[in-house]
Amino acid sequence: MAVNAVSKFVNSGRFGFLSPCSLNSLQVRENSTGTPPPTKDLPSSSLIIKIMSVDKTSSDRTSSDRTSSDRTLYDATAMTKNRSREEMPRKSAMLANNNRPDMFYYNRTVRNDASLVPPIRQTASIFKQPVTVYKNQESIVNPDLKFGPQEKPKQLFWEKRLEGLRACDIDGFELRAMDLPMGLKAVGPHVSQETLLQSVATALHVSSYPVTGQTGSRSNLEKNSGVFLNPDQPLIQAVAICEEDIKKQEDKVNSTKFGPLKDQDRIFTNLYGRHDWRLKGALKRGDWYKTKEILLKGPEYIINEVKNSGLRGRGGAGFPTGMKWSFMNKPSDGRPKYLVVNADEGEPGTCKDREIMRHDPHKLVEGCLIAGRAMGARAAYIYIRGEFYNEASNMQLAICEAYQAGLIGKNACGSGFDFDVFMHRGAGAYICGEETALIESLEGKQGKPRLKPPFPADIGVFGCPTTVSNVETVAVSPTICRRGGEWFASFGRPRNSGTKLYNISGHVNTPCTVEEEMSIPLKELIERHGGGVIGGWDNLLAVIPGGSSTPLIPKKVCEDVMMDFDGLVAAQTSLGTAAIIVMNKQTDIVKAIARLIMFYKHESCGQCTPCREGIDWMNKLIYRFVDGNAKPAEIDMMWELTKQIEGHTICALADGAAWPVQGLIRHFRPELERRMLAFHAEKEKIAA
Amino acid sequence: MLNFRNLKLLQKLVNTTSVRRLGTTSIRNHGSLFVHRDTQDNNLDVKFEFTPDNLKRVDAILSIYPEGHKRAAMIPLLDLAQRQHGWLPISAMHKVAEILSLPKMRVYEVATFYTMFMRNPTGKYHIQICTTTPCWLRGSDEVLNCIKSKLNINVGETTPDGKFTLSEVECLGACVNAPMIQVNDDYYEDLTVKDTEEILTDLQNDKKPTAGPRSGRYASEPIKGLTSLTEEPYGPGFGVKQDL
Repeated sequence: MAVNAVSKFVNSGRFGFLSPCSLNSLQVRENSTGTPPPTKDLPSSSLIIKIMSVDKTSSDRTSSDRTSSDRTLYDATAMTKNRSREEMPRKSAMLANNNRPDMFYYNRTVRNDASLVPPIRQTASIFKQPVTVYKNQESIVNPDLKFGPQEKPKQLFWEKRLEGLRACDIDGFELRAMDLPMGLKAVGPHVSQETLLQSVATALHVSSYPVTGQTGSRSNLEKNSGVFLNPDQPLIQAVAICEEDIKKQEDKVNSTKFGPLKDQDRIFTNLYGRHDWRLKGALKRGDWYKTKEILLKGPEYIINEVKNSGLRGRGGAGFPTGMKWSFMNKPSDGRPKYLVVNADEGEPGTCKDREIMRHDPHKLVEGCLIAGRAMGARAAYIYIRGEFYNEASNMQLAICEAYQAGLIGKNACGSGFDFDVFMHRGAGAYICGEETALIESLEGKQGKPRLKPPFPADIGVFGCPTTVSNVETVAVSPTICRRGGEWFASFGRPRNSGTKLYNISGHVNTPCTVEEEMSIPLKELIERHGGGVIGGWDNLLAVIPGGSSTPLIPKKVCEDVMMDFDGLVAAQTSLGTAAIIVMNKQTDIVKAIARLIMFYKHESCGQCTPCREGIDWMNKLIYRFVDGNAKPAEIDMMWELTKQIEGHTICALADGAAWPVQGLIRHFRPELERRMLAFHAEKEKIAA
Repeated sequence: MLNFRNLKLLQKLVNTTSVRRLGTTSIRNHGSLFVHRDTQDNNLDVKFEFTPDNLKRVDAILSIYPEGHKRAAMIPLLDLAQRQHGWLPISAMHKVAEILSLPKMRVYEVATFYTMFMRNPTGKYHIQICTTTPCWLRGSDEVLNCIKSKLNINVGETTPDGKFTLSEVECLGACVNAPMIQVNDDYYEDLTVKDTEEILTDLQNDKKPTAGPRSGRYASEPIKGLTSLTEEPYGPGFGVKQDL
């Protein structure tokens, strides 16, 4: 269950935004000892109906659950709490002027026939009864303990389930063992590192006083700890933090700057197509360098490097890639494994994979090989959207070149590993960017997302274990393996490490695609690479920071928000695919969002009702909002509608449609109301 | 009292407040009809055969999917049929069903689901204009109006000479180069009204305009000079880990 809960969030597609409501289920509690968690004692009587005798002579009556002893009851203790008892006076009873109510739990129709009621015995007797055992043959159980002390049989189930599990936080990051700061020194007799840790943790959790440590002198504490030890404080020496320390830390924070990246640290060196994209040029830029050595190091090495790099999926969900790839390393059951590269890029605002595929296709081919090696895949299918015809031909040419040079195919790069790469063109459905829809589409069906579980890592394309990864994720993996996970992790904030392709579109002076460091401030990104907002920074109205599915943020948030997963989640939005759509003050913001909703209405696959119908309703409502032809109460109705859509569908397309509207209402409600007022004033003027 | 003036007012109110319609299910999600209607060009008697060249392609396509999963080749085959015929008649769907040995229904399902399959006669140049927000912000409406007026057709229509079909499509994934149109397989990006007119004039004269951005830049770099990747790329071995 727990493993499923984790892999449930393995999502490469652009729909993979984790919805906050579902995140709670992801938290797997750490259980290092592997002991079973305390099972809640179910009442053994959960199916037993206690039959109380009418004549009060029964000796086993438990009076605790009895309110009045003179009732004739069939008391069902297992009745769920929220199920209320139905008490209704029976007609005959009323006639007899008898106020005792009759109770019916299982049958609403009145049954007067007494022979039908007791004795109902639905399970074995709950009363302990003596059992006499007759033996007519010798026991064959060997009583001698020559194979060691025999343990009582116990449920292995729980242990098996929890085996090898580690705790992770809501983003799917493994929690590491806690490291204490170097400055903390233990004090007191027999304090080990572990005791110290526990003691500090307890103090932080329990104590309502400020945690200062033991103030007594060290020798006193060692000699006579019973007297000098302050039980409210952890077993550490008092730490004094002076002004200087604070200042030092502040300087450290201030001097940490993210971006701009140096050219030598950029992975996609031919992003703008200024150099040769064919094999010759790719080799010159350092692709396919020492690929054989990487392959020979084996899957663990590759996965470890990717884990160390902190790479998170670049398709929108941001699931840790190393962990996702490691899900595939289960013992083989004979089925081949597949890597599917999600190149069905269609999220409005996003055009990063296109640049990779047309100008640096060999990075992707090499990435397929390395990722395929990491998960023991037999082949990779690159599912590219149908409209990218020229990009697909570049890719196909690169694949052919790689085959001819022996870099992929049989004995790829001379490593003894066989690997194929195939292209598959889609046919124009945005929904196929969702990983299970992509798999369906690859199998030649309608691109309608599948229910999970089973997850693609169990049953994916052609019924085989499959991992779906975004183009950018796959394409950066060779460079990570070559230059090391540490190098990649040195960019950006912890947990948001690496470099990233940003698309800056909309109302900027120079729209462009650029590779930058993660965590770069949004303002710097727009000013440095986007050439600034049209009309100046003060003319900025709002920004959609991660492709159309992410809620917009108004200017005041844009001032200092950092472009990474955590920074944008803190701003109630999401990094998504890092496609920045800038809108200046001349924009009709409501119409901009309305156009997005029309997009989602068009692209809904029609499988789940909340999405198919709900987005249509949203579309109708919001186009009335554009004119102002609505009542302010309808804004709340719209909010409610988005909440009803969000999280009630198989895939996250509906969430992606609901969030932009939520963002609009969250930040631009006054604008919506102003329009409505203006519209109605205009209407009254015409009427007058 | 319902005099003439009140009636007019009432009419206005009715016009301005939304009228709730029944049947909220979106019937035409794809801008085209799901069902097939026999027409002169598109009926069961129209013969469709793959050309010998394309039959080789069919084999090549089928070869990349594992045994027993021929069905996966459905979308590529339909696409191939469409490329051969210009659009996708029902007989081509039947041919694909025959090759894949599938019930025809399975092919209809797919052909109606994906927007790139044109099940009605389409012009020689299929102009697809993206009007989703990033393009709309950069002025796709003007481009659309320009195309409409220049070709004198509306969205979803074909010119009488069968040369142009105009479709309004959702995001084509070139947002940094917005606004853009796609003519058959090529993207024309960074458009202005003037560029659009030029492209259409070229196409009317059956000249193929150069694909790509029209603003003078090569791809998706900032137009006022590079802000990154100004250095020559570093060669192989730069920064590679010691243990490799």
